Amino acid sequence: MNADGFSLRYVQAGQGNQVVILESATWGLSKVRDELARNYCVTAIELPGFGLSATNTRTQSVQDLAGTAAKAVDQIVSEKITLIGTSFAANVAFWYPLQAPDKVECLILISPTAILPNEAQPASNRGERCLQMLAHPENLPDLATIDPAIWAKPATWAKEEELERRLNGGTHDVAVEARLGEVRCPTLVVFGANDKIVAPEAARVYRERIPNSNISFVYDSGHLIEAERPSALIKAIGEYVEHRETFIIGRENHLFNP
Amino acid sequence: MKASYLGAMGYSKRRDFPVIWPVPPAYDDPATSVRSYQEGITECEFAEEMGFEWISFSEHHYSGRIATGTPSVVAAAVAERCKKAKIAILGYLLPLNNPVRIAEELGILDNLTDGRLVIGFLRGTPNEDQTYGVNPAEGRGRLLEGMDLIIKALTEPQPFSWEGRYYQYRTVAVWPRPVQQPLPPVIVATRSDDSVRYAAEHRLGLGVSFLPVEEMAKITDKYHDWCEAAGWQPEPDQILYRGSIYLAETDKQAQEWFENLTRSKPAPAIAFRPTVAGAIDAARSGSQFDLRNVVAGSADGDIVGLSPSLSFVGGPDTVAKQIKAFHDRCGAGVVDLFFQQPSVEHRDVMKEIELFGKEVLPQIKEL
Repeated sequence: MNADGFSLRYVQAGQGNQVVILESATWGLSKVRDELARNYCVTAIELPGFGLSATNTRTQSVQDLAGTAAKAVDQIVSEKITLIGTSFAANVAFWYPLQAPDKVECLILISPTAILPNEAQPASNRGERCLQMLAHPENLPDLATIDPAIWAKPATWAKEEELERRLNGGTHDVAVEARLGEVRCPTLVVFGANDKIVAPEAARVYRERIPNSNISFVYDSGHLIEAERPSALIKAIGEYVEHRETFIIGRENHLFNP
Repeated sequence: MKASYLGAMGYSKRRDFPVIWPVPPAYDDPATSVRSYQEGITECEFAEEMGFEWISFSEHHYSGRIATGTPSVVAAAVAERCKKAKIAILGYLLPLNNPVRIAEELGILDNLTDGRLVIGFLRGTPNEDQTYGVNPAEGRGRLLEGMDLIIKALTEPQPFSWEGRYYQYRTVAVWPRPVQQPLPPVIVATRSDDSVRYAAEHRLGLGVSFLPVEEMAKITDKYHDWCEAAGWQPEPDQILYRGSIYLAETDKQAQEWFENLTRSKPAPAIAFRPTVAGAIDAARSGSQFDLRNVVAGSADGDIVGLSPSLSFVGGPDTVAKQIKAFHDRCGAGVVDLFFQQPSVEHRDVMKEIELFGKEVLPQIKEL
């Protein structure tokens, strides 16, 4: 599709309530969207400048990128949406309900990097960056096979990293911190319990300031939760999509012998 | 070096107490039990008076030998009588328990003691895997996740959800927070490499129980190496050795007692199923257990604690020397002592505590 002057790729699958996933560096990690598509109409949009899209030199801010995403979504989804973003795309997703509060009825931020109490020293190369993103770097060989089309192209990474750097990704975003309290929709913020990119103190900032929010830690996972604990992530966000803030209520049946 | 008194609260009739596990509740006489706890608390008080700087408790189940199945309850009672000593739970059998419940108990205990709590975690002995029906094969994983979850629960100031491998909680918000911030001292009681490494990487203390000094040294050597790799070195209070002790006025008296103990017959054995013990060991190691290889109807019991293997036996100078070896070779800064040996009654335990305080403690205190 064409939106806001960009040519964008997207995939759509499933039926039911609308779930939109903004994809940035995690394009290709499809487990979450495939699983959610069993019960919902899932639309995954590749943000301009990421994945296989052309180099993006025009977008000037994360807010601009959220605006582009909103224009794209408006073309293909007329209903209200549940919005999901991971890592840098979560930073983009954060701005969306502030710009279009009536469109987003539920927000899920996975490993967002906008709030960085202790800014991690960025790794100098791709290999080290991969290690930083995982609680268990021994999982790296598996991760590299998830989407060889993107993973194996250094130029793709360089393009994405340059765009993130230009939009201040990887640095603490005071504008986000100042406006957390304006997010009115139910919001789930998920972190890997062993995230080496974002310090654990970040989670509590979201919980303190977003009025209707929950934070969730995924045990034994680093920054890239979808790669390390996909089933745990899918369970948490799947139940949040279904039940929103009431996902805290236990619904599993433990009756052994009825 | 500091001394810690293990508040075992053992059943007073120790001379003929069954050594099998579990001990049937029918064996318990309530009047004796009440007296046992009263005597046990008195021993803790006296230990503090005699210079023991820690009083410790350990979770063990279904027996009167160490009758502290819920160590927080006993610790809270003792903390009201002992106002100076550290109250050390060494430790909780994490795989058996709800980690969030443990975190809540720890938060309360650190408040009740105004910041005197020391936290300990361990997996537990194989027989105790039966206690709450936990799969023995899951013990290691539950221990590691449980430690992570408890530390998170005690340090996270906002309510959170936990998506674990073994535990899932959608609302965790432990109240009250510990007095000691960010976290009371934590000791991981273990012999296994993965838990020793965990302690080193998380800057936690290490506890080792009942091993000879050279065996403990193999563990502490690794611990020190892994601490160094993690960029820190443990303080003396972060390496603890737990051992059994029999202290007499002289080496000769101690030797005579020990020889009598080894000659004495164990208390009446009650038929138990060795198949269960074998199956647990197999489950823990992930191997197959063939029930058909075990003779049906065997009257052999699952003997727990029969072997009179004592870490420290002798007169004051000898015991001080034995303890010093753990300090010098392993870097142990705290020795946690189990006095309630079979055949040693309350009155004699009190004498040992006094002797230890007067004759042994002065020799190890400055280490």
